[in-house]
Amino acid sequence: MHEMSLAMSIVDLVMEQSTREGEVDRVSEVEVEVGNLAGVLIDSLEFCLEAAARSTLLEEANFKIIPTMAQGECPSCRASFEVASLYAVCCHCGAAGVTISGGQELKVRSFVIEEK
Amino acid sequence: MCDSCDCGSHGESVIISKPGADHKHSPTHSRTVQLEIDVLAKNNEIAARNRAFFASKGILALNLVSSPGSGKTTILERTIGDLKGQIPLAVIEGDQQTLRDAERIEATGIEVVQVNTGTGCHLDGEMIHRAMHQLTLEQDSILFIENVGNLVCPALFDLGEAAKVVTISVTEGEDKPQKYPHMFRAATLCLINKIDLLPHLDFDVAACRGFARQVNPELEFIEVSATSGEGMGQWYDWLRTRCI
Repeated sequence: MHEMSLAMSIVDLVMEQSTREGEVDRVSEVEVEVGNLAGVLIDSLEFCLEAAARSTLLEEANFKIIPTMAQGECPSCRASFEVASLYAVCCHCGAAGVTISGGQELKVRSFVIEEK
Repeated sequence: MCDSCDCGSHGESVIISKPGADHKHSPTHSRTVQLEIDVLAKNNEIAARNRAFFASKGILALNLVSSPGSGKTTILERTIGDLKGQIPLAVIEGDQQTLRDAERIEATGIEVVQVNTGTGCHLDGEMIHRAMHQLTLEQDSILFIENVGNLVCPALFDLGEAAKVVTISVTEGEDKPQKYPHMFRAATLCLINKIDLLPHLDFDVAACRGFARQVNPELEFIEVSATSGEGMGQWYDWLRTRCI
């Protein structure tokens, strides 16, 4: 259940950044990028964000989770494809040892503030 | 004019609302702030500071991870018993509750701090930073950080360690690396523990290694029994090599 500590980190991060933005009434939207191999359950994260945002500037924010996919490259036939697990095999020739890139992202892309 | 009862009132001059229903905000204007910051950035920053401190004192910090009951604490007790006096050692114990593991380590005569995470499922950089202040960490020592028994969450949180050492015991399934690939990918060394029990079990060591290597071709393995002492010498050699 590390999603709760991640949700709290997201709320803290946006709160900290929003204080640098002047007279902020509230935060209405937060865009979070989550890679499919980041080890994060999106449903859980959404649930935790709602709880973590309570009584903060983000209380009414709409959390937009943007899922991103890892990319694999086959060591044998060099095909490129989206990868759904760390145990990927090439979807073209079936070879193992696929080189995986990306999919580990877990970042706040942007947020929308409502200024007074 | 009210269109229900001709009372002459206008909707805008009177606001009727139920508690908890949508309320109106005073007029504001929206602005998007681009951030592109890693959610774990703060933890990674603290972990980097821990790592720099360890490097400045020549301390080898190891993050010991596994599922509960794989024998991490027993491995530590045996390791301390065998290496005490040769290399300065210290331990940070992580558990949700109790001082039990810290008491076991304290009985070996070395310095130990217990971090109780409460409901938390992993240690993080800040907890290690705070725990470090409770320890007298010697130059060129080894700091063992025994993480909360959990093969999921600790994979994500950098503590500033030099390496993650994952332990799997032969009383578990050999398919653990397939079930929890993130941890086996993040680890540098895998200790396969309780090998004294192998004659009584059908744990396939080769299959376990194969599953783990599929997600982490660089992963090193040492087969040990913290009870009989078998293989422990190889583990100590690994530690000594890393200490230099």
